[in-house]
Amino acid sequence: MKLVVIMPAYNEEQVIGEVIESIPQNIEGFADIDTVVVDDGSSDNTNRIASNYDVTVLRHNINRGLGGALGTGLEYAKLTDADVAVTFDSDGQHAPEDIEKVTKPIREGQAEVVIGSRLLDTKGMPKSRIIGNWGLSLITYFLFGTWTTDSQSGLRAFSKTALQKINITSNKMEVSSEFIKQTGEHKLVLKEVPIKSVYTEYSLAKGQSNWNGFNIVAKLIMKRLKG
Amino acid sequence: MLVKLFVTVFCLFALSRVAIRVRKNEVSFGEFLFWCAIWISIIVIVFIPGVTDYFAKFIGFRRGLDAIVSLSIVALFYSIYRLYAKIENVEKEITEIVRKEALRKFNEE
Repeated sequence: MKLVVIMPAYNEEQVIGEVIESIPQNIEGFADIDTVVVDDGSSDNTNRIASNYDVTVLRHNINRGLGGALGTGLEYAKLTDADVAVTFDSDGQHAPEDIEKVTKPIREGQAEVVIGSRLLDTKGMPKSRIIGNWGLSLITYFLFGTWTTDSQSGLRAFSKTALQKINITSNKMEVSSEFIKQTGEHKLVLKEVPIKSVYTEYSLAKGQSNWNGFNIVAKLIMKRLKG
Repeated sequence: MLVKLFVTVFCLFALSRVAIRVRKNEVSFGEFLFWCAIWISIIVIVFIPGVTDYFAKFIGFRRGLDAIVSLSIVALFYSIYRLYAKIENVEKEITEIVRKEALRKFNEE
């Protein structure tokens, strides 16, 4: 089986090298592991640093946001005939060994979409983040009718079927909820597995603030209105 | 009084433009009716201002001005929604172009 690990990256020169190095070369059940860094129009050395490694680097000429970058990564996974695709934040907030955890339910045929939930075990997550994440999960549920404990998680896995059905149209952070929305719409089997979240000063500063949450909600409501 | 004359002349001019475009088949008959209704009602309002109050009462407002302001706000909100949707579309198209460019190497294979 072939696994594509998608790393959307925007101005991550400080950590991208480390994070790429941390991606495991051997994951149970996968003969071929292809890491793709989607450089979302970074103005720093992200692209140059990523190109030093044995990974595929795709370059967005202008910054399109998280959704735009993930969409490109998923398109790449489809084009290269991946059996499973994993999205993995490049700010170092995920534990590399969790890739195995999120792909397992797909390998075993138990799920088509797997969300790595940081909220099944909230150790290490700041209180404000816990509240903000729960809030967005609730709103996602009310708007689109699919429940997850962590709708905003950046670590997700998709089966081949899911890759073919899901078509991302969001450009920015609201993409996380769009994945949940489409999982529900296409009746894909969703499973959550607990993952660790590594909250460093760096990843906290790079992540979403609760203020940005309001922006996400506004976009989600518009999505709901448009159907 | 000059206002009435000026508005009437302008409306008639606008109507003539619509008529010309209808003859050239550039606008549909439905659109022709729509524009006729707009320009003719403006002429009517200029000569009989009381009509707006009658219209306002008919739809539930006290004064013609109230009706105009309220309906304008609704129209403005709607146009903001339209703008928002259009911008979203443009953004989506930009992303598609950027994505195609990023994946060109793989699409060609």
